[in-house]
Amino acid sequence: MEIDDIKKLALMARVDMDEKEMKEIGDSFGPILDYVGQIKEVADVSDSSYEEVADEPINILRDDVVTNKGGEYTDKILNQAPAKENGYLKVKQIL
Amino acid sequence: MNTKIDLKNLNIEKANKHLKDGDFTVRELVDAYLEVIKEKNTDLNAYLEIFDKDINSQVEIAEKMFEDGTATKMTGIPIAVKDNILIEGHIASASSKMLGNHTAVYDAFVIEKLKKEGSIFLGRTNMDEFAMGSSTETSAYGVTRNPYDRTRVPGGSSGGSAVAVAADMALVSLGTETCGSVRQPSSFCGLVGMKPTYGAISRSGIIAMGSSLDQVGPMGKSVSDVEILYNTISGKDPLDSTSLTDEFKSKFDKAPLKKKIGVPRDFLSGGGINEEVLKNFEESCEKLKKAGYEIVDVTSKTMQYSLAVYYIIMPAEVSSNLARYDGIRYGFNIDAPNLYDVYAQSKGKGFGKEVRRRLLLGTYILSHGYYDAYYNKALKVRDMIAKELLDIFSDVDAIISPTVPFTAFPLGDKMDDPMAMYMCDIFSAPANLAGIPAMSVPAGMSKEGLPMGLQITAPYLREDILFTIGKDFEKLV
Repeated sequence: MEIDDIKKLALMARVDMDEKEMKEIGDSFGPILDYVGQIKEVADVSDSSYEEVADEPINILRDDVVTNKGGEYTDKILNQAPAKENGYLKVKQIL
Repeated sequence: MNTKIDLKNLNIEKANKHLKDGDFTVRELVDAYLEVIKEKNTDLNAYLEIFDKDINSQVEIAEKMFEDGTATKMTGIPIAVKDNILIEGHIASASSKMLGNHTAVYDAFVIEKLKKEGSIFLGRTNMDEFAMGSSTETSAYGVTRNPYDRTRVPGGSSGGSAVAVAADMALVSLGTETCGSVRQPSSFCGLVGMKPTYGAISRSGIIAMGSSLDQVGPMGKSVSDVEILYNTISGKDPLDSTSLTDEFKSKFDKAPLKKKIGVPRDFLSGGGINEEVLKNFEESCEKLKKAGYEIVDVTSKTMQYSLAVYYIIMPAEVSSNLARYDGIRYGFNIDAPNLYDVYAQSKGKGFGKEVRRRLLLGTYILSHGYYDAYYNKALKVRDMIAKELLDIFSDVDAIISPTVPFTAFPLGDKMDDPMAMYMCDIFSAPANLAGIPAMSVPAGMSKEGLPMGLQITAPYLREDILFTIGKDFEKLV
């Protein structure tokens, strides 16, 4: 894959990397995409659905209610944050 | 006192009996393992950390349970825990620099269950970074070595958990699988390792990789140990909506065994199996015949596409699951002048090479223009694979194959060739894609003295079949 395409992907994925690595990744994509591309040869089946499969997806719902006490985990979780202020996570200015 | 405990031949049942009879105490059992760890871990690097600070309090809890008669089979059993399973108050880094400073703020469901039983967590084990790898070489904290040959890989991604048990540094261990990460290192290290049915075990508190595939898997020296550990950690958990209720499970009939096992010959022929592994597999088939099983060929048109489907679905899920590591809430952070650069530099420097590759691959697969050709198509083929397996299981109790097409390879051998590394999981992929259980059982040794494994795959929620066939096979090896 061309380095310009890798640059766009890195931008979308928000991963900073140097050109050397971009080239390496681009080169490795060739064999990987060739290999995974073989699924294109599988004939499409029109009735493909999960209905006959054992683990047919089912919706799991729960009531939309708070299940813990306010502030129960706040300190524990905020202690993991690199930057915080007055009980909030602190981020760089967005606008 | 420790010298009298024969760790090599110990299993959960025996340990439990000895502890109940007072032949040795939990303290003595734990000390025996700690002594081996002290002797071997510097070289093998199975553990990233031993929980020195709270092992004593864990031992006290277990010993009290024996005193007051509340002890169970798992009480006092020393366990090694993969570094992507959360234990409150301990680092859980997924062997990544990204989470090197991340302390778990709650217990994973499986840890909560084992704590209730009074099991002992000895430490956290090395793994491929974020479970992305088949050799434990992508860890940010060094490679783990195979105890059968220290110049070779232990397999991965749960390599540390495999080596911990294989080298008598724990009685049993917990690994996780997205595609083969329990079965493949179990095969390379001569252990029993199981990937249960999707939904059998809660993933609450497991660092996610590919959420439609991820499962926790028990590892041990015998089928019985794996079964006991599995029974302890499985069950419904409200915090993982994919975990299954007993009511749901009861809908699947436990039909008696037909004693008929299928071999997907056409699928195996495309797997690049080395000669010795193939020969060993044929011998395993003969052994099962002697144990009274009928071995038949089964045909599959779709299983051969499993790994290709996996390498589309997994990176797609990885690229969304790992978006959460942004340098803001927890984990590695680079303080850049604007928000985008905080994200991009934290990810760029915090993640290793293979993780970065898969993030970009997933981003590509999910991007406009390729989504249909890759992701949607992969979902359809995945569905076809699951259906075909369902058909095959209408005739046979289980499917068998070698766990891996080859034995443990030399360190560094496949690190520059991602596609070669991915091929390790060629026989693992169908079970993960179809959500069905599969187990690797030791099947003998190669001429070079390296373990080989037999993989048994069973229908949805039929772990019992794996245990039955596994135990029959175990007696014959």
